[in-house]
Amino acid sequence: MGKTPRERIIVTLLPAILALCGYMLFFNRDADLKAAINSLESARSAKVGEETVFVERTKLADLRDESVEMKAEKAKLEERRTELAAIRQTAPAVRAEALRQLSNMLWSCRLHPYQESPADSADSQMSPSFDEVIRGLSAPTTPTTGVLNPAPAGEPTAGSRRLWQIRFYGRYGDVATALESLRDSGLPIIPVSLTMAESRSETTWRSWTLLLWL
Amino acid sequence: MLSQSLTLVVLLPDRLVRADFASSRAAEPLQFAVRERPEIDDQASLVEIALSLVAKRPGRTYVLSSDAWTHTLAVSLVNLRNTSAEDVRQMLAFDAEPLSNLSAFEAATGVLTLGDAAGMRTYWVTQVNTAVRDQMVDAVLAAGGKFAGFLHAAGVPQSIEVGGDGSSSVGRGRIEYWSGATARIAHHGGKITAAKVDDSGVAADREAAVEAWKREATVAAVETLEARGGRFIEDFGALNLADEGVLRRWLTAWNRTLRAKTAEVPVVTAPARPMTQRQQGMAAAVLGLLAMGACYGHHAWVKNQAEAAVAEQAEIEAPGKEVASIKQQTSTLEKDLAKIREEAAKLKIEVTQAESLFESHRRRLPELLRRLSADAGASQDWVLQRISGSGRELTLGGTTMHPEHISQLASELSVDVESLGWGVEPPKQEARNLSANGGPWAFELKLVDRKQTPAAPAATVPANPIAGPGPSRMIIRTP
Repeated sequence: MGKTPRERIIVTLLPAILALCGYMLFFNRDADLKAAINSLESARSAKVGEETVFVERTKLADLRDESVEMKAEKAKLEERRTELAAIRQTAPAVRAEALRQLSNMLWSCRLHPYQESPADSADSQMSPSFDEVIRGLSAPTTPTTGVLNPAPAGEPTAGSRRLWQIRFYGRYGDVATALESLRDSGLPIIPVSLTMAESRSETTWRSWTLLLWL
Repeated sequence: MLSQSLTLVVLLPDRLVRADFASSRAAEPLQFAVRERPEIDDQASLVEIALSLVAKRPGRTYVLSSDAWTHTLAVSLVNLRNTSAEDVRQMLAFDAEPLSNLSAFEAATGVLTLGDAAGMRTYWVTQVNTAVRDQMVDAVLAAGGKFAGFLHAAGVPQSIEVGGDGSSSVGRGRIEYWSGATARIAHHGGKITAAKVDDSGVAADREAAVEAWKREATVAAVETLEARGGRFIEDFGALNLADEGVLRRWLTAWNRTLRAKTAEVPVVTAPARPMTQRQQGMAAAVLGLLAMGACYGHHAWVKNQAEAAVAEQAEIEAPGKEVASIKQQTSTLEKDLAKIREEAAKLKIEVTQAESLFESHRRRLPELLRRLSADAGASQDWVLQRISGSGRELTLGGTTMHPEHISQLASELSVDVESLGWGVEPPKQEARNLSANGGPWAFELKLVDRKQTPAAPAATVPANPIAGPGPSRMIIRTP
């Protein structure tokens, strides 16, 4: 039995219709395109101007410059702190040399040292403020990478507190002169305390004890 | 105008003709062949014979036959309301049935609308048996040609005598005598302006018939064409298709007419032939492939558009991403900077305190000695006898005859040594009662180490002089 013209047309168009339907159902990506276009429109509406980028770049560059300056300033301070901390880090040879120079200084000021020894009971001899600063310098600096930390951590021990006492004879004015010389010498020695013994005879000579940190 | 080859197959009463024309402007047929008509009634066979007269494959082929039935018919306009062209064709087929002796269901009908007059519309109708038409179609296809149509050989709307209408501005007419039909036509510009086709036969007075048609059709001149086959004695100068020159001009006129976009004669066309299964399958496959190609093209377009949109979006969002990255870096840098500032501030305090402390410790002993020496040298009222103590405090011990001076000294010292990290406590004095006023007095003056700060306030323990009997002088000898 022959097909009607309508049937023939439908049969002829059927593969094309099936191909179109299959494509529309399974392969059509119009939704993706619409989503991409919507996303693009959103991006356009939220577009950041070049001036904003410029401002942010400038701000970041300023911050970097400031950071570099602050790091340099901090490095200088750490260097200075290291120098100050080096007072309690002096090597034995340096300390011995400093004591030798001090002794020469006393002799040149007409003073007569007769005893040099480490001081006992260092804790009671130290002034609180001095002790606090020494402890602060002995504490570690900020743990910044690349920064030299010369100060050892931990509580300073009696051994590390190098209190030294020098006993000598001399007159008041010469002692003052010697202390002024020590002040101006730049030696890594800090005078902590000074005592003058009472004389039982009518003389200007006294026995002196100078307590030093070195 | 078509430049395709046109083939005319003419079945005349006594001859068969094939003429091939290369173009509409051709004045002569490219191929022309004539033979006597065999004694065969089967028109399809006659077509095959005519086509075989020339070895070349025919082009678009029209079959012009004097055996076809042709007539003009009039239909009331009232009956034509709301009718389609196909309805009119069917109606005319039924009207022609008693005249053509062809059943309306078996007839293939060609129709040309002529015009309206007196409430009637006149049609020129040509019929042939459908089976015969189909056989002729097959014969043409078998010869390698394409069947373009079947029509009666009468009524070409071109002047044969002058070789077409040319530039003539007036209408012309013609009376054609065929074996089964008499056709009176008027034409102008290649189009039929009036036609009367019937089977009235040859007029007794041909000249009168010419004059009558000239008046009826309002034409300037009417020519007569004898097409009944053979040469009749009484032609009186009429055009006769037996004359080969007339035949060629007549064929050339048909070539021009049938190449027009719309035929001005009733043509029976080939039926719409249904496709074979193979053709249908091929068409379905082609359409399917086209649809798939369209789908692929659409898919590629969508993909390209989406990729372009994504790329453009990335380009647009690039500054925003850069700003976000910069802000993140800025935030991190600000935190680092704050930390560095804090550490630097702490370091600065430590360094300042240490420098201040070390400097004050280096300075304070010699300056204290100089200060005491200066005071003793100036006043001569007291004598320093001992210095004792430690780093925490120093005690100055001595003797004075004027305790108020020691109090004043303590007060002055508290100001002078404040910057050196000492605070001065009120002096302790004790009378020895060796003189009338209770003197001399032994005194002790304590300098206590105090915590130094870069912006330290004034001495916390100001000296409080002990009230005494008033200023006096005392011999003070510094060691």
